[in-house]
Order: sequence, then C-alpha cells, then structure tokens
Amino acid sequence: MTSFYVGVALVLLLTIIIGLLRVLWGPTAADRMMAAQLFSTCGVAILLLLARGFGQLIIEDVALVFALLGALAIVAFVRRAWKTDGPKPDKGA
Amino acid sequence: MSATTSCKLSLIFRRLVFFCSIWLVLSKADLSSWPFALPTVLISTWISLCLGGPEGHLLKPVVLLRYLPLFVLQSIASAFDVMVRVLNPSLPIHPGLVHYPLSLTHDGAKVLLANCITMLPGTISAQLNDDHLIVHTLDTSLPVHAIINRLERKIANIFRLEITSGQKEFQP
Amino acid sequence: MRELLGAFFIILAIPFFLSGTIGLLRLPDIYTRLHALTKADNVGLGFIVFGLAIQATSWLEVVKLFLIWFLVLMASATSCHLIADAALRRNIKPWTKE
Repeated sequence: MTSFYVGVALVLLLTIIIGLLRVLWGPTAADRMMAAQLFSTCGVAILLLLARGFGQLIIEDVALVFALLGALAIVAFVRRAWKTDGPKPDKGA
Repeated sequence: MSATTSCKLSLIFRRLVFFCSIWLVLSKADLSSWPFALPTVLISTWISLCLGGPEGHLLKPVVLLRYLPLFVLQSIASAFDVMVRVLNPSLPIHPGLVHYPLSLTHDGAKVLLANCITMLPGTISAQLNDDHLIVHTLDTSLPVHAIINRLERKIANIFRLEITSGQKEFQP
Repeated sequence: MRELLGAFFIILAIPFFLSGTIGLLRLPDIYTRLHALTKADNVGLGFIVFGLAIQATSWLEVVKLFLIWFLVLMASATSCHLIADAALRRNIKPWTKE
C-alpha cells in the first residue's frame, strides 16, 4: 500500500509544480502568493498521505503546522507586504 | 453569585473543556503529556477570552451541527462547479461583483456568513463592511441575493438571532 | 474492504486538485482564481481526509484528520477573503466578458 500513497502524493506534487507557473506569470504579487496557498493546501494533503504511507504518524503534526503557517503567511502578506495606502475602514471583525 | 458571574464562569469552563479536548485529540490521548498540556490549555483559554468578546455564548452548537452536512454538500457542489467550468475549453464564466445589504448585525455571525459564502457554488465574499457585503461571483446570472438571504437566515438561527427582511432586530 | 473504499476516495481527490491548479492557470483575474483555489483544493483535501479516515484504526486519528481539514478550510476561507479585500482596496477591477 505504501506505493499507492506515495504515488498519489507524487501526482499532487506534480500539480503544485504546474501551479508554480503562476508564480512566473504573475502579474501581481497576490497572484504569486496564491500559488503559495496552493502549495500549502496541497502540501497538507501530501504530508497526510506520507504519514499514512510510511506509518509515521508524527508527519500528521507537521501537516498541522503547515496548515497554520499557510494562513499566517497570507495574513502577513496582506497586512505587511501588500498594504494599501488608502484609508482602512474598521471592518468590525 | 450574580447572573453575569455565573455566565462568565460557564464561558470559561466551556473554553477549558474545548481546549482540553483539542489537546486530547492532538496528543492522541497520551496522558503523560500533562506537564505541557496544563500550561498550554490555560494560556490558550486566557488568550481566547482576551481576544473574543463575551458574545460567544450566543452560538447554538446543535443547530450548527444540524446544518453541517448541508454546508459540506454545498462545498462539494461548488468544487464540482469550478471543475466543470475550468475544464470546459470555452471557459463558461461571467464574473462580476454583487453588493448585498446585510441584515445581520452580530460580528461573529457576519464573519461566519462571509466564510460560508466562500463555500457556496459560484460565490466568494470579497469585502465585509458594516452594513453590506461585496461578493464576487463566477456567474452573474446566479440568483446571488436569494442564495445569500437563505444562508443568512440559517446563520441567524445558529446565533439565536432573529432577522426580518430589511429590518434589523435582535432577540436575546 | 475499508482499504479499497478509502483508496477510492483518495483517488477521487486527484481531479479536484488538478482542476484547482488548472483554474489557477487558466482563469483571467485574481478574483476568479481565488474561486478555483479555495473551492477545488479544499474539497480535494476533504476527500483525502475522508479516505484516510475510513482506513484509520483509531477514533482519535479520525478526529485529528478532520480537525486538520477544518483548520485548512477556515484558513483558506479567511485568506481568500483577505486577498479579495486587499485587491478591491487597490482598485483592481474584476475581469468581465466584454
């Protein structure tokens, strides 16, 4: 069964690599960042598959951290790197 | 003990139980981890109480669970919708922005609504303002207002809020 | 039996991840790409979590898998909203069919 999980993980890795074309094409920084978000979701899936495939349940915790860091990266990007100069109304949330 | 104190205590208790159960799941119920678990759970509870207002107790978990299968099904339908549109060589999309006037006033409910809209077929929430929501849709021929209105009613149920069309009303 | 059923759902996830990537490449602007990214990929991950949960041996593992999925779901709905919000603030006009 290990080869099945690794096989599916490889296919997902391939979709990430194709998705990285968006990093090349842009055109805005947010488009490039969205490829990173693809990486984060696909990465969690790959890690979960590898955790089962190799019987190393500790990798599931890596997936958990990956999910958290993905969200953090987007928040940091929007708040710091892609900040707008315009007024920032309070969104109440 | 006054009513507000007991209310607050029950909120703290529920948060503690919540974080304890998360720790149990993450550590696979390994009880030898309690020296780490105890401070972590206490700090998490404290931080969550500092961040969230005291309005959390409005949420009705049972109603939330009842709607959960529906949300999951709609999420799958929306992914299928995206798949069909994207794989079609002629790329059948007619995107556009839709402004939706909000009836909900509760902040948590508005955030939940925005997140749920993102899981519906053909819509993502783009900007949440005080009294209206900007939604981006893949297909402007969709009845976006009617769809969101139905969702808004469900969310009002989850939060024990009463909304009447157009009127803003709050029922404790 | 459970192994096979789980494997079926895991394989079912692949087309969703593929369409997420194809959408990211084919769709014309930020907002439409967000649709592909947040919907297709999350459901793909959902199918993988579901497949792995069917094959799981303990209940705690099932709960943990769904906890991870829920976290990713919340995280990506929030990031989608943040990116769309920032793009609107920058006055990036949504692409429309002429």
